[in-house]
Amino acid sequence: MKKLYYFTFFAAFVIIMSMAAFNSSEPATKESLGEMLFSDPILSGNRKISCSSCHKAEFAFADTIAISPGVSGRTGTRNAPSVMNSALQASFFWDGRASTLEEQALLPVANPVEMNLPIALAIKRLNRDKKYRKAFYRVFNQYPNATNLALALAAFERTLETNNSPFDDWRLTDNENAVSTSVKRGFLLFNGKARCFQCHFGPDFNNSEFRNIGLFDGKLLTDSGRAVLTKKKTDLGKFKIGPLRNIALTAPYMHNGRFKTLREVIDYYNDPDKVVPHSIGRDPLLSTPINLSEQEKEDIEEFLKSLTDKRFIKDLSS
Amino acid sequence: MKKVFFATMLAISIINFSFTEDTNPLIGRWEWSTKHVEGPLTILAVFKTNGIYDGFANKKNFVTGTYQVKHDTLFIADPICNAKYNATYKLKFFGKQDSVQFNVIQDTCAQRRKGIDGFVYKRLPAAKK
Ligand code: HEC
Ligand code: HEC
Repeated sequence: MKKLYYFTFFAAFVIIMSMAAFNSSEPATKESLGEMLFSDPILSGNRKISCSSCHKAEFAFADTIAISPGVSGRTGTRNAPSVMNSALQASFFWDGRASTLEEQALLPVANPVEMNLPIALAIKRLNRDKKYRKAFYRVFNQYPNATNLALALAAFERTLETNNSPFDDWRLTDNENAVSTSVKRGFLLFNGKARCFQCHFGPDFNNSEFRNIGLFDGKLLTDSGRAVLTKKKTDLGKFKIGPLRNIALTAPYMHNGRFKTLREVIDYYNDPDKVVPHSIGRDPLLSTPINLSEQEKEDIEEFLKSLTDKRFIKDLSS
Repeated sequence: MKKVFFATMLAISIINFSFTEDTNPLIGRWEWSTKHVEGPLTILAVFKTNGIYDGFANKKNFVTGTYQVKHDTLFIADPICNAKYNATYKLKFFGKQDSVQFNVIQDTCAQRRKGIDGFVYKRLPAAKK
């Protein structure tokens, strides 16, 4: 008898728990709905690609290949940036063609080389899916439409802020052991001799500007960047200054994924002419070599690595 | 006579020392917050005993600069504006120095002015080590 009692109790417990689990997997907030959509291939033409195919959580929501393939292996021309730390960004995409996350969110869905699904069709699909129809109604009091789809994706992206790097720890808590002496030297170089700070400053180490670092020559390097939008000749080869949080996880680097390692990036800045001899419109800040020693290059690299959030450091060591 | 001179010098140096080391009322953590459509923004300023300060936006460090307090005037410089240019602000403390307002005296750096001029920052409890 006692056994039966325990058994029933146990069974009831399992049922209750699984019901609770079932309920909690039904998104009840914009953020959790957006999270579900972000990794659901329902938003791509062939139902095989999701946002997270190119923006992978383990690489700070970026990718590790220069150009990520979209639907049916089609490719664009640019490197997928991290989607983390976007809450304070003034513009999105390398050329800044979207100014809010909501504006940005639907563009990859419809883009033929990314997810290749016209928005009207995407909305139809979501409305035919019982789970989404219910979830959107619960969260927005509306069935899926283009506006609330964008709101949900953007809300999820805004949760992806990271502010707990060894670097922040060092600055915030006065904990001198939070980073190595190499990181500290690197920070000084970054702010001084290496001139990085002139462009890379702010909470995410970029301001809202577009600059030309010399990766445009009109021949082999033909992405004209910002100029496509502004139609200004002076904007040729200008790109959004790359934010640098978690940068150690998001190789390769630059709008075209040209540099495979942080060391290649630093070598480039040290003497751009050596890598791209006939660039057009390179920023005056980069007109002369920096003359960094090997130790100094290493220090700057160590500093950049200290911007990796601790949640990833734990992942890496386990 | 010499003795008096030295005594005075010593007294002055003690006063100076104790002013910068202990009674600099700005030492500590100060916070100001607002809410945007996109979400909350909190600016934290940490004034350290070594004449260095750090600024944080939503806990992300965005500036490290130098500062000095003389009477009620703040001299402040940072590499975003120009590390060699000291802007000046009048400090106005409220209550038991539990909040402070920065009022520009002179600052050619528009960005910094926009971030602090007129704002009232609240003091936070000391950082946990
Ligand atoms: C096929 C790969 C691919 C897919 C799928 C994809 N992206 Fe992207 N994403 C990119 C690339 C490449 C860029 C940069 C494009 C550019 O700058 O022109 C980018 C840029 C972005 C940015 C701008 C980041 C910044 O700071 O500038 C955001 C935000 C973003 N994607 C979110 C999404 C969302 C949301 C989805 C799903 C709806 C998605 N992406 C699907 C490749 C992809
Ligand atoms: C003149 C302004 C400027 C200076 C100075 C500068 N950068 Fe950049 N940085 C940029 C721009 C603009 C980009 C994006 C360029 C592109 O993709 O073509 C960028 C991109 C990067 C990236 C890659 C970001 C990504 O997500 O792929 C890294 C890393 C970087 N910079 C580090 C540095 C370091 C280290 C220094 C100092 C040695 C430095 N930068 C100096 C403007 C600058």
